[in-house]
Amino acid sequence: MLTYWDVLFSLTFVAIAFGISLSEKLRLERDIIEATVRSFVQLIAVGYLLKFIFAENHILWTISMIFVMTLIGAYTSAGRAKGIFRPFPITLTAMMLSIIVAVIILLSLRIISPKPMYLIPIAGMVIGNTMNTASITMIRLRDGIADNREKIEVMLALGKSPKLASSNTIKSAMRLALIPRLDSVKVAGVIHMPGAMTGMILAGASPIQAIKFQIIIMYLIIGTPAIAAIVCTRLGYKRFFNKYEQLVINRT
Amino acid sequence: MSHIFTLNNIDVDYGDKKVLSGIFLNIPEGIFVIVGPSGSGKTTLLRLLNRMLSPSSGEILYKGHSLFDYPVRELRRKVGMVFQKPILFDGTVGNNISFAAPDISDDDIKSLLEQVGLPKDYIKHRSDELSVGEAQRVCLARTLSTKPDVLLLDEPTSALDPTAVKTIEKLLWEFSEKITLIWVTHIVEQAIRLDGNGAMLYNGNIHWQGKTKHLHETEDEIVEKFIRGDLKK
Repeated sequence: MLTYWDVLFSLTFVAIAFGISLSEKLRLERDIIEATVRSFVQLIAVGYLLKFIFAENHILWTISMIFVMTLIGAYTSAGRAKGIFRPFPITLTAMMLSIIVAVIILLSLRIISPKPMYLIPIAGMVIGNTMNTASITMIRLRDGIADNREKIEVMLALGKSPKLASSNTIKSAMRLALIPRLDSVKVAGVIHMPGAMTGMILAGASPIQAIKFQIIIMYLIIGTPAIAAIVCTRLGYKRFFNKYEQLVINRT
Repeated sequence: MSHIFTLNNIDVDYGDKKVLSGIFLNIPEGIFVIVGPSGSGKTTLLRLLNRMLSPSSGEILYKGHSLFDYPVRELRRKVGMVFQKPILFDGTVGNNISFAAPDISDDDIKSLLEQVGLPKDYIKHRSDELSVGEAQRVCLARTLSTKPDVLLLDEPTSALDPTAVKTIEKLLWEFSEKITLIWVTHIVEQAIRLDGNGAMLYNGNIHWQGKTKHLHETEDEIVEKFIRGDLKK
């Protein structure tokens, strides 16, 4: 059983980083302190919140927790999408849909049971991955439309729909957003030990059981970002066109 | 003379900036030249005609009906546009043309290529292996594949060498028998050579209207300055 003394002693690692920053004049001391304090406060707060929710074991608490996590994820992702008009509803829809699909599949296959101790960490993993994918998709979509502005206008001038005119940009944005996710899955267990598996092994589960669960998580990491990417592009491209099917860039 | 476009009191504002101001213009069939220095609002005016841009106020009629009465995609196929810089899509010349007109046959593509002065076997040519002049001709063929009634030409020869300019001018001039051409240029000599009706834009206003071949005879300080090349934006 870990104590707060153990946590306190682990500050040695922070002290190493702090010392290196000082000696090498990296001027990262403030960031190191902020990261240390914030992670401590946030995780302890979440820890107590999860303890409460796990004890209550009520679906409304679980859904509320997942919803708040999704809101924060969607807000963070939307913040990356500067230059896109009202991105928040898009990232929120993308992430909510990803979670709903993931939870429905996992529950209906009886891979997890509908308890907060399963649902919340799974939702956290889906949110973490889809948030990243949604951010990259939106950024790539924005940049792709700006870079291909002339081609898109030529297609519109030929009487094509905004969707068709943006289709290559949409495909490219999706590919670029999904490739990092696929690469991370490809090297799982070889370059890095995935988080869920590490956590389960540390908690005393058998490595094989932990790996089976991790494989499911990996497949989740392939599937749910794809949902996020398709939602972000399908809804996102429309933000660049007005109702007269004219290309509108820089409308923030 | 029937008017293909009528512009009534058109304003275009970009934020606080007035790009076009109180434009009244009748564009007849045939060839119509919009001439003026860079930044005078020529391209903006052209883009209003296929609804690539909407006016801030005023009314535009196409063949006597409001431009907004036409479904936008149908309108854009009937009012085709050739851009200043030839932009081709990946693939072959044939792919580019069939993208614009998916039901077109190979024979029709070859016929279009001949019309724009390219050999029939260019249908198989890769679009990224063409010269700028050839690429502009393919762009023209691609636009013609939608069977437009009007061609909007936004400085279509500005990226071309002098020989290609003459060829494209001659080619397009021949098209003006069948299709109305609305040709934007900042080159006075080109406007005069095109020998059509026209208007001169300056600072978002129409400053002169008439037959372009009479531009030289106009006794107007702004027009004279423009002809001498002394007129700045």
